[in-house]
Amino acid sequence: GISMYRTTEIYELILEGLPDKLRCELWLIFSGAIHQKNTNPFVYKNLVNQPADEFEVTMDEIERDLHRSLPEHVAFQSEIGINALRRVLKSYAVRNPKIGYCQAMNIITSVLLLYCGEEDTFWLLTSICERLLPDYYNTKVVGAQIDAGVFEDLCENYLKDIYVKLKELSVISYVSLAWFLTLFISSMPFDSAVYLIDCFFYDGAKVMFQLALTILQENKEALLKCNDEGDSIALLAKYLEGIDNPDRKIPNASANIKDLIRNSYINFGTITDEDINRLRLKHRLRVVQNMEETLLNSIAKNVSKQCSFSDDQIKDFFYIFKQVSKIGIIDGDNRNLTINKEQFLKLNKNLCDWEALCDDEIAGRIFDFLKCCPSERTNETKISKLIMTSIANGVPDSNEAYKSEKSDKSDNIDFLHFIRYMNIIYKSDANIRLKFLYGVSMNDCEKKVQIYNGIFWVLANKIEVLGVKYNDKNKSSLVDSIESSNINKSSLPIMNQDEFIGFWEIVYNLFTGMENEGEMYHASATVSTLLLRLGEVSRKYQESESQPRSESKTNVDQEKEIENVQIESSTSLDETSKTNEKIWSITFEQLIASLLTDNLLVNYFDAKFDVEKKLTDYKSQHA
Amino acid sequence: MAKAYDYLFKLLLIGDSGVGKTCVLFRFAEDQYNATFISTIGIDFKIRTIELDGKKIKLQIWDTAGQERFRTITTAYYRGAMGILLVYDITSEKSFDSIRNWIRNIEEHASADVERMLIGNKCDMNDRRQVSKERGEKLAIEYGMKCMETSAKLNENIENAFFTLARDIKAKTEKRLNQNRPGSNSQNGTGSNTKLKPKDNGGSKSSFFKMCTIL
Repeated sequence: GISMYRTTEIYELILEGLPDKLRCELWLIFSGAIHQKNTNPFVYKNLVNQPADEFEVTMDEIERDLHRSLPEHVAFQSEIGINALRRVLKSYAVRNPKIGYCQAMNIITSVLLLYCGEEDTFWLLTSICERLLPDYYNTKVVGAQIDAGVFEDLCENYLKDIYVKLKELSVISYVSLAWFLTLFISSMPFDSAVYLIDCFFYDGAKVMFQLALTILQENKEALLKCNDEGDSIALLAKYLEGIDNPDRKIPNASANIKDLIRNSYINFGTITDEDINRLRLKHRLRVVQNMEETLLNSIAKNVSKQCSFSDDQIKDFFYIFKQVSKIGIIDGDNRNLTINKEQFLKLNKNLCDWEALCDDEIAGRIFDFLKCCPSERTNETKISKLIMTSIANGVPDSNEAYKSEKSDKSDNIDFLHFIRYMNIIYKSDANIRLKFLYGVSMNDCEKKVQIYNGIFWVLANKIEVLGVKYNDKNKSSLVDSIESSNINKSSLPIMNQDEFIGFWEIVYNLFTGMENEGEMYHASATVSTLLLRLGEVSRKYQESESQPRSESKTNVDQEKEIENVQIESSTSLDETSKTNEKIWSITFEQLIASLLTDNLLVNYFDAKFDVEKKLTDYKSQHA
Repeated sequence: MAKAYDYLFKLLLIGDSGVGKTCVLFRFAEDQYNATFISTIGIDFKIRTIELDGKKIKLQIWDTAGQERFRTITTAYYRGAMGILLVYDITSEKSFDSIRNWIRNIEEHASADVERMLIGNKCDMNDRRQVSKERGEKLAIEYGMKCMETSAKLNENIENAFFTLARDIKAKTEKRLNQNRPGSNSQNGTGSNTKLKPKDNGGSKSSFFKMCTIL
């Protein structure tokens, strides 16, 4: 491969600034990018031609920034430069989807393109993103946050008085972010920053720290006089804008980049890569912990209204949930974590104290129930939009909202689903728990969603809050219409015979293995027989009714639906009355009333479980 | 020493990448328009001092990067903000849809009594409009905030937006200041001293001073 001796002559050359013509060649050698380029001859060409359909969001982000990269330079005021920039950024995003595209990469790339061809630029960018500035541009910009911390430590070591002052104004980490992320290009004239880039490719990240320290040192007097952080930031911004270079003098320049770099080597050249790596390790831990803490706090704040757990309990639950979902804090969207069925079963076994519900068969049905009901959070926008249009039309049409909610199902559940389920286990009484099992037994997804919403008042709450905020005058009519619509009424969808049998299957399973198994079976047999008769009565009652009832739509079971299709020709009135015939059904009210007559059953479903103990046990087992 | 300002208000601009936050700020702070700014990296800021009812108010306005991955960094600046402008682009449905996420960020990271305002920018591009004015207004009502459509390019409503927000913050601050005075029994100004920074004497000192004159 190609290599080069590190000699004092080369240092002198770098400190003078590389000649424009040699920049590209030397950057490639200094950074080692030349090796990657030579060993991967067709990679760039292939990447350019590769379709990027799956990266639509990333491509949009790139597109938006093309004209905001180096707008003052004539090269990026025409399509030629813009297209080259687009190709390089797109190729990199396709090459490394884990980084994709991060703002700041556009700025660096545009300057590289002024001195290098596209392919060379691509490989230089790769070496910056993947080796020279590790983790800088990933989805949480962790590397840059770490280096901001490293810079603070260096300030404390080398520039104590400025550190004390700027710490008080909390400025240090703020200024260093943009400096480091763009190699100073976004803060000083690019033709000055390019002198730093010469050194950067040769000596690595340490030169950024050297220069940053030098800039603070040069402004020491003025910085110490600043009253607030705004003043000190403005002062530094003005200073950096005024840094010129040997090729282009600025009138009233604040400094010359060549002198600054020379001073930076003289005053801070003793800082080694080892020093920096040691500090990075220390700050990585801090940054990751901070991120985790922030995440936990915001989750707790978000979810606390949706359940009766304490903030600490929510955090524990989330922490465990996150572990199971196997998504690290650094990568991925931590706020919209989801888990699949397998993960849920595992989590449920560990965290559910109601032992009978840990059975895979029942837990699987619970998962299917939760999965069927999109969480409020993911659908917030859509529901609110629907509500807004409904308000505009006068009446909130809750059925519309249900339907659209149903439409985008996923195979996972999110944390809100999970914590609500845990709330059923640990913080609910027999009534709510039975309502939950009633929902789990339903076959029809629409019914599940209605029951889920009935338990958690997802929509009702939303509309109520809206109604109050919207307009006092409109409020009364809005509340009226909510009351007349079926969501706020206690009535849940009616259960058909199949679902009824499913419900009792679950209940029997719950009792299996209990000490008083026999007694429990007996009690539930009595209740279920009673309910079976009630359902029969309701069928006979419906038969004798000549008028179709308005809620008939909800108790159409699958068979009848097929029948419906077959008699398309008949009028709608005929259809409804026909579907009403011979339907065995019971309501939730009937179910709960019958169940609560038996003390054994009441006690069973009212049993209390200790969440604190369960969480403590889990933590001690998994510590 | 002459008093440079009576109040210092910290404002924050948030919203999706490319909606024109930097242009709005540049128009307000420098009264200039530039169609092509370099994309904001991390966080940036500008200062302008305005006068309201005879009071000099120094506005320190923080501009943030819109890209999602900078969120962990930018949310660190929410806490100190007394007013937040939520900016969307009227020619971009997506940027409008994101407003709810930005509000969620505010709820999670900003202080509870922060003043908020919804800004629909680029209203000069009516021919490419995707978000009607009514929808903006409805969203603003839903969250109990004011809203305005602006154009940084044509300098429409920019002054108005910042002045309105500053006026609301000032009213709130002065109300709290009055409550904190002895005489009115409510001494429960939670953390209000940190919000008010008269130049010559620190917040706590000034209220002590006022207390003395009344007694």
